Amino acid sequence: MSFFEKINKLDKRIIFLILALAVIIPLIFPLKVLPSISKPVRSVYDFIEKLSEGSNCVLCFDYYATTTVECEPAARAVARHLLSRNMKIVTYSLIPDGTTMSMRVMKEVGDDLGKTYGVDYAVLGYKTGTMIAIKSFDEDVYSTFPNDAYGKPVEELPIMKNFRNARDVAFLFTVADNASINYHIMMDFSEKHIPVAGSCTAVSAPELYPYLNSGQLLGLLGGLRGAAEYEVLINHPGIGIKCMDAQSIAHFTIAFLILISNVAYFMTFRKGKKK
Amino acid sequence: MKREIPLFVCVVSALAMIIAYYSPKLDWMDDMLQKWFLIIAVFAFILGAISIILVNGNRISKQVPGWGYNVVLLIGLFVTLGLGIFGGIDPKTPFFYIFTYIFTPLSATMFSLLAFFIASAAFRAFKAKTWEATLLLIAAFIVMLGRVPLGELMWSWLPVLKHYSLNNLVENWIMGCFNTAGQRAILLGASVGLISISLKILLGIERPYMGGE
Repeated sequence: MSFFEKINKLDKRIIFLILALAVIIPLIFPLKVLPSISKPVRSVYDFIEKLSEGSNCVLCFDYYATTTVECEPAARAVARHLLSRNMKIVTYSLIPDGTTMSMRVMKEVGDDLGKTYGVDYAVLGYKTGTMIAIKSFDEDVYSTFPNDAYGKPVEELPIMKNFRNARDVAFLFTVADNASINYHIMMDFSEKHIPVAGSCTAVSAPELYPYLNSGQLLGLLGGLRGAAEYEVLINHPGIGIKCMDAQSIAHFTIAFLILISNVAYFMTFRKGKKK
Repeated sequence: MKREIPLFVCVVSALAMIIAYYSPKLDWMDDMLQKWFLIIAVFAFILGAISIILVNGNRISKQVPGWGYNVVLLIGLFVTLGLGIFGGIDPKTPFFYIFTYIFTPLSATMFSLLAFFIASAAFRAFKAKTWEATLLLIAAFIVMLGRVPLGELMWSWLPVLKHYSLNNLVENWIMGCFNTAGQRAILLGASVGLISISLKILLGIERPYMGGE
């Protein structure tokens, strides 16, 4: 069996091993290569920078635990930026997993920046019904979420005094691994004219470009790369930048594997033709 | 009657929602139907839990191969449910620890396995056999390498190409131009399809809610 024939029949366990090493090694020995900033990410950052202090913002945690690694860095980076600019953040979720996820992220970021729960941010939790839940929230926050995720009546939270419906919202950012961004565009941007931006998994990002192009989506943080770019912008390197090294090497490894498999295919194909 | 009643409920609910949307005078009906929907949707969770218990209980009672996994699933369900109901879900509660330190890493691990399967599948199947496949391969290479910082760094070492931003090439051309055009076409086509399916359901021609009839 020739070298190229061996490549063609390479055991998938070897491919798994190569890819595992390509991910693990850069996490142990980081390359520290920073990404350049793309326009959709820059738009989100610039918009938040221009928002007046104390504006009410909504942060939606619409991703499942499966995509935490890819989605959470963006949620952390945007929450940090908003809180550091003294914005008021109210979070809610259209996904059951979102409640615990938002509790954890907001507590960690809030504690780090010395912010107080109920005054600077609030976690309202999960509401079933996707588009109906969004519509209900936009019309009356108090009746949609009578209690926050900790079971406390929302009326008792100081942050909620000036937060009754969509008219009080200056900006909405959703972190999603599903069609939630589309729902927020339809319900929040198109109906209530709230500026909407989002973050999604890298694989979903191409689907949202028509909305970016039409201006319905203010900006987009696509996958881990988007989060890493945002961390560069807010000058707070986090898990996004760390994981980009692993993703860099993994992408190059997959590209190399595809390349050698094509070379091997054509070499054996040509040999077969000669025979 | 088994067919007529669900059909009647479906048609009346759908028509009411549409009329309420276009008529400001019927806002009260819109609000009422929204509240009904939110309440009914919660019952789906109860239905889901009953379904899980019945399906897994059945497999355990029949001791089908792998029934041990069903036992683990049911234990997980009852333990998490009990801890959540009686202990709360706040940070520092047992539910929170289960979610953060067991459920989330396990879920993320299952999802991460996809990368390995995709790498193996790409190695075997991604071949430049035709002109279209070659074009797809080239575009995939540019996006895959252009979306990572290392790719941009290596691009900046190239003699002539370094004057052109790789990020611009990926963002403005491949994603912003070709991808957007394709996605928009898909989106419009899917939307037209959605309207036609909705009309079919509204008119009772399609009845997926009656068990695929």
